[in-house]
Amino acid sequence: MEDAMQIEQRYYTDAAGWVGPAALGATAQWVLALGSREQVSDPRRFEALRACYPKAHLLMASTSGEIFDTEVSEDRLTVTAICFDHTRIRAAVVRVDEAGGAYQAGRILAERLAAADLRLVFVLSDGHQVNGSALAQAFNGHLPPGTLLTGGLAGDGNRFECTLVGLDAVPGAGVIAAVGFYGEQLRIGIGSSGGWVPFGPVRRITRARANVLYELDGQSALALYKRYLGEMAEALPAAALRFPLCIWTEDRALVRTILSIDEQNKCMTFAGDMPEGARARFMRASYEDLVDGAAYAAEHCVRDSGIRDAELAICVSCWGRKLVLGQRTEEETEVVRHVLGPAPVITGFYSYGELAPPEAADRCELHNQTMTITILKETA
Amino acid sequence: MMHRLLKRQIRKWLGEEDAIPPDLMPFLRAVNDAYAQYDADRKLLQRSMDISSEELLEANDQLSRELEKQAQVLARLKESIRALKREGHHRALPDDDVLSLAAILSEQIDLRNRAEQLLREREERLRLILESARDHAIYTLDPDGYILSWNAGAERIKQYTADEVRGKHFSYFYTPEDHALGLPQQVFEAAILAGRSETQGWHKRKDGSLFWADVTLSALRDEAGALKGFVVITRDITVRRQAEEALRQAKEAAEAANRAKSRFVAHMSHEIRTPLNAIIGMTSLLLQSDLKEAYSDGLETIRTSGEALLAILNDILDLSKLEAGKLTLDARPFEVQACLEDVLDLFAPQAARKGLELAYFMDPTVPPVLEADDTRLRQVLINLVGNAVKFTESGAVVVSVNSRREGATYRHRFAVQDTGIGIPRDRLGRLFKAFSQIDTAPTRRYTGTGLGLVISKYLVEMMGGAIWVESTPGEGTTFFFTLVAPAVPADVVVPRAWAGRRVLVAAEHAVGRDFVAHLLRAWNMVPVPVPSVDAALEGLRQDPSFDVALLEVRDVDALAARIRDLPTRCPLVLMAPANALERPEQAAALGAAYLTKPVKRSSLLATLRHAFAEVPPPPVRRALPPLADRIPLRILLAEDNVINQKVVALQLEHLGYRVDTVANGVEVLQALERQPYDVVLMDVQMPEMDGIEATRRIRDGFPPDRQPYVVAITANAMEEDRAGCLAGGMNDYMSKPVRVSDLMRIVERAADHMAPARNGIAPNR
Repeated sequence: MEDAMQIEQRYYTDAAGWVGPAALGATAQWVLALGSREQVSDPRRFEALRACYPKAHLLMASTSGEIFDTEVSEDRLTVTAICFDHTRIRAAVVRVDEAGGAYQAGRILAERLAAADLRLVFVLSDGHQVNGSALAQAFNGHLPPGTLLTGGLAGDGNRFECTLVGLDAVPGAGVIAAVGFYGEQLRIGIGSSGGWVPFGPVRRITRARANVLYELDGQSALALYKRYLGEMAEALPAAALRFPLCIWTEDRALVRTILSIDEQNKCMTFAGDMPEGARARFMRASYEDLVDGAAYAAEHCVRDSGIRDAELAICVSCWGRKLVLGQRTEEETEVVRHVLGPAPVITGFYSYGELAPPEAADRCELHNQTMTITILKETA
Repeated sequence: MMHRLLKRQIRKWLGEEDAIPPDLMPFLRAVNDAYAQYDADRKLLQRSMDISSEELLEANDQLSRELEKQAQVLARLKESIRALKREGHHRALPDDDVLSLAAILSEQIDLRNRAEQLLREREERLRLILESARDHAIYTLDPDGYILSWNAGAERIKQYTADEVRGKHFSYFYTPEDHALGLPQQVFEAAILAGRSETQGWHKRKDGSLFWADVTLSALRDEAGALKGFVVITRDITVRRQAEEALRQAKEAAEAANRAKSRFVAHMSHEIRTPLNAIIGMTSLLLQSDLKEAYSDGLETIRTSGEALLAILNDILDLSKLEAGKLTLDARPFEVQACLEDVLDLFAPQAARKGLELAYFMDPTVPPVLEADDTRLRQVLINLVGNAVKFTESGAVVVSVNSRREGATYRHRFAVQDTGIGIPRDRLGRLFKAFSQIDTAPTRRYTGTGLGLVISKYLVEMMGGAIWVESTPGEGTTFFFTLVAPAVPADVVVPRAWAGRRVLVAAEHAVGRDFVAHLLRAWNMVPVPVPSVDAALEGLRQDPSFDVALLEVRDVDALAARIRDLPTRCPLVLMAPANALERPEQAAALGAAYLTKPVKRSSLLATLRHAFAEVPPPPVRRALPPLADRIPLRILLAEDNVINQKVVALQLEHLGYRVDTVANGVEVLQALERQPYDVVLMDVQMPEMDGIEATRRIRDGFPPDRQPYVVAITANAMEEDRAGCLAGGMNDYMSKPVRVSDLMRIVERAADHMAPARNGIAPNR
């Protein structure tokens, strides 16, 4: 292997402190640090990383669980530092309230990063305040053709309170950060899959505004969810992740998960748009289904890109999957490892939404309930 | 809270909970969580499956209900489509194919839409027409007569705006007078009953002025015939009415002027004719005296010129009557052959003097008896034959006639052909126009007004025919004319040839005798009644010249010998009651006809026809020397009808008499004042003074030695009229049309009558 991409991975826990090598130092170009809201919001973590990797772009985000190789944990800060051989990177950050909304924010980021040899944009966004659909649409409209986009919405455990993102700064709420990858030597593979199965009647979205859903088939959507959840309804909104909605619009089917509920207005906020008139169907999944989904995403990465010996794999998996899989969550990271082989460094996190082009498309979409994998390799 | 299974497993494998080493607790908690999650997942799955199954069941139920509803909708849909397609084509409806039904429905809706569109366009067009109809007030009424709509024309004509009159009753525009007469109600009811009523009358405008309105009220009914309202169209035709009024006044003025002209012409001709008659009368009187040849030639010229002048006057008078449309046709049955012969007879002397052949030819297609105005036909023929004879120096004049059936009637074509001078082509067209005589050159060879042809054209056209001419100058001319006249059975007409025939009538009873005599007299025959067969046989022995004898017999055998001994070839008709003659053969054996009593008109006519057919009548025209040579008479003809005047004058001329003519009773008296006449032929009906009055004045006002033999000429052969004439002082009578034989008879009787008078015996009154 003559690849020159150098990657080191380490983590921090309150109990153990920093664990793992810190050899790249000033050569590191990009550092991805993912962890619980408590970890990433702690300025000491940022300062430690800044000191350790003085020249790298530090991209940090809160999660609902971070992936370190095949391990999934909730209380660590997982750090991956990368030094490319040829590939250049550039990063940009914007506050969604300053930009004037998710679409405007996406447009600003795309315009800042745009260049002839821009290959890939990796985005981490606030997952609580930002409409991921609008963000994806903005990138689609303003990135140079052929540029790939992946990433995800930051998580907040199972609390749905506040998500944090930061670029070269202590992460904060309402932030969207993006890293652009430039140069012909970078090879990219993307795979995204859920494994959820639709069930029950096909319903129609009869009342909704943007990503807020009021009624299905003329009846309260919230009440319907409560009926299905039974005593588990007490665990709303998290419990609703067990029944994501499959939405059919004119030309595509998307999976949408719930972000929050509003008992007063009897409505539910989803991670993406709920177009009125679209058909919707409840989805469910068993462990096996989800694990098969993850395996499929990894296989697709390889098959689609032809990269058999990836150097880095970034997994963005939905927090809803983790909720279903429970203690068996790591089965899906293990199956990814199994497919990709022993070579790549694997990192990633459990998110409130995944960004990636759907299969055989170059337009980015907001996904829910998927395992979305981006693999990278540099060639000489 | 530990999972029950885990608790059991712990008790089973690890002993009491307290005995578990603390290190093991996190692991057991993880296992416990896994158990709990597994249970929860299973429960949730179960629950979600159950609920979803319930939901699907509900959906299924709803679907079933929807399906049922849909089936009903489908049925209704099909029904509707069937109703829609009722009048259209009859393609079978698909059973349950909603899409096909929808397609048909949409097709039908499309059709309806197009129809509605068309309707809208038409309505729009109609509305535009209504709006732009400025000279017609067009408005609609509800079934009770109240105004619904009101167009611009109505606003203009009636001066009310639509808002002002909407809801008002249509009778609002009628005058109080019309209301008093109940006219609006009548108009309304007429429109309801007849569907439409048209009236004219004064209507009110808003400013109170009136206009003469032409109002059409039409009822509108729906398909079922229910009254939906009315359409009223009112036109202001005041101007037209004024124009019509002016026109009517102009016409009346023109007619008055024309009447004045006719009166003037009549008056003038009378004024001219009176002195002219005097001139002619005096010259003829002078011509009878012994004069030097030079004087008599001069007088002859004066008389000829006077007569020509009189003829012109008469033509003008006749034409003015025709132009005024005063002439009416008097159709009656007549014999065509007799008519032709009469006309040719008139011109026979003239033709003989020129050495012309005068002949007629009747095609077998011509029915023997026609119903038409024979006087007018005769007038036309006299004009044409007169011209032909006048303009032909040598050769022949031939009258021919043929007939063609046209439905129930016939069209007859007469042709008068001559071998005369002919008429140049460029003058043919002017022939039938008044005052355009062919030869306008100063050296015209032939005299005459040419009005004869114009008069003929009028007459022919009145009789439904046409007149035209074909001519080759130097070779001859043929005048053609047609007339339409139906044929009538020959047997209802008494043959003209029977006139003047003497009939011996023998019957015992006066009633029967008189009845037969009356019939015979009506047929212009001369009955000689005798009271018995014996008297009759005696009469026949003495005078064998009877044309026929009607004998009432009881016993044929007893008479047979005496009848056979009779020296006469006179046909006999035996009359007997129906049961008296055992066998008609008895009569036949005697060479006699027979007649069943009581005698009827038709059977008498048929029997006489039979009798005369057996023995042909003597030739009508007997070769006689001019009667005038034997019986010289001064004759005055009083006749207002020009053509009759001319005919009778020609007929008398034929007998060698020269006759003076006057047109009414006044002129008769004037003529008699001037000079004595032996015979006055007096038309009974004349203007100014009729024949009866004139006769009375003659009888009262003239001395016995100047009393003429007065003969009535009557239009009809009614016995009462004749009795009236005789009672009025007349001596004899003839019926129109006058025949030469009538005149011969009259002349003979007049001579007989005058013989004693001339011997100084006063005429018997």
